[in-house]
Amino acid sequence: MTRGPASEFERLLNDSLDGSLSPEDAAALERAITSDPDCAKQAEAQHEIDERLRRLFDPPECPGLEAAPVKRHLTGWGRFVAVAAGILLIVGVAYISWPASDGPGYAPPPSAGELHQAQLDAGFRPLWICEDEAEFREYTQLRLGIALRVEPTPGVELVGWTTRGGRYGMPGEQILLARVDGQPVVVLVSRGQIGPEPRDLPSEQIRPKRRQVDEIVLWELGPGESAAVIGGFEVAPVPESPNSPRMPSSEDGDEREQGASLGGSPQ
Amino acid sequence: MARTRAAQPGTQAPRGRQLDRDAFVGLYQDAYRTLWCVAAGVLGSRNAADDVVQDAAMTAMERLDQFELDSDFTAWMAQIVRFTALNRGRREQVRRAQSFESGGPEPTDEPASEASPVLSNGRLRRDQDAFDDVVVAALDTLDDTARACLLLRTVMDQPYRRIALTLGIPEGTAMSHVHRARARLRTALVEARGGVGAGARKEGDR
Repeated sequence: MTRGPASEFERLLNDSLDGSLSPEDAAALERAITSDPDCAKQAEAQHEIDERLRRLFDPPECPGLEAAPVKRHLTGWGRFVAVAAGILLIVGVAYISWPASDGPGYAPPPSAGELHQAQLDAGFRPLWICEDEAEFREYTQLRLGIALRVEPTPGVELVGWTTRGGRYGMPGEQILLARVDGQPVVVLVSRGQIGPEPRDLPSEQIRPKRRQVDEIVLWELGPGESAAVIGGFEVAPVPESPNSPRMPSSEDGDEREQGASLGGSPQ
Repeated sequence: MARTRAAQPGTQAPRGRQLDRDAFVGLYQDAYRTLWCVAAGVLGSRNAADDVVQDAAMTAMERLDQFELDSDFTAWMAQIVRFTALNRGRREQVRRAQSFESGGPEPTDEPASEASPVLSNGRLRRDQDAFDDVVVAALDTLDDTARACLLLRTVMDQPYRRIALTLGIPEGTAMSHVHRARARLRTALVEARGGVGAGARKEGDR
């Protein structure tokens, strides 16, 4: 069976894009483009499409390692309100100045002072604001895996959440921005025993205070001698919601048919 | 200068020990850009891809004991990313339907901000550029696997074997998805420019 001219041109074009074009085929593709206006039009369109796709879908660096501005999309968060709607200046100072890592791709945690200062440099602006306790509970359940609430305390204002500037910028490690008597306070909230432990105390003004609630490790970075924010943290019950994010389950029949599994793929 | 490492698709987990949290973080960082493309492909937009990958990572961290050390980390994570993105898409559909039924506002067509190239619903702004508009509209006509294949091939320049492994599909299927997607996007663009000719027939006509 022989290919038609259009089909043959398409094969040549795809081979060219895939880097598998033989010298003979390269010559044939060149002839097709120079002799057939439609082929020329197709080739030009393809190159423009590829260029646009690379620009429109250029993946960002892994959060926590980049210093580039980002804008977060928040409509999927239901009742969460985005107040940092514009382009956010993202914390990069701490990462840039970090010393050598203990392994490829790893970065040591920033110091308490560095992390606190980085948030100030970024304008102390959150990525998310929880307007009420329910939103706070939903956010912590989704991001940390454990629903939390904070007992209101006079003089303490919860500004909002961010994920940038932490140890890895990883899920499960969130940063809560707060003000205590008007002074900015940064709270590192991490699930697990490791926690983003501040590695030194570079500033007398920033004193880390630690508390653990269930599996959640809290570090409050602020000027006070005693904790003002993290003392009010406690685990909150989470009401069942049909729209709550869920894990893949055996009910996902369409996925099961495709052999998807969380157990790993054979190499 | 920030110390970042180029993504290395298909990073193998360290052998001889359990995949712990620190090892996971390193592998996750390596695979992030690939996983982001998978998320963007499934979602059909770039804007929620960050959240989906992060949520998937949280899921994965809770299930590290299910990861087989001899398996491909990126493929394992990509499956979780895909599930997460599909679930998010379903939730979003329900939310929009409920909003519509209750007389709420239609899904947003307003720009998220004046400077943003994306709408608040995660789609690219229709008026951003006529060319982008055509590309995005044509992408919408592809299924999620085809979009992911196209992005991994075009944006990440990954070989078909790697794409197939990441997405859990045969190599030939990955190639076929990419070739058909290219043809569809070309057709859409050429038609939009009013240049329909012999070379701009729909793929099914060939």
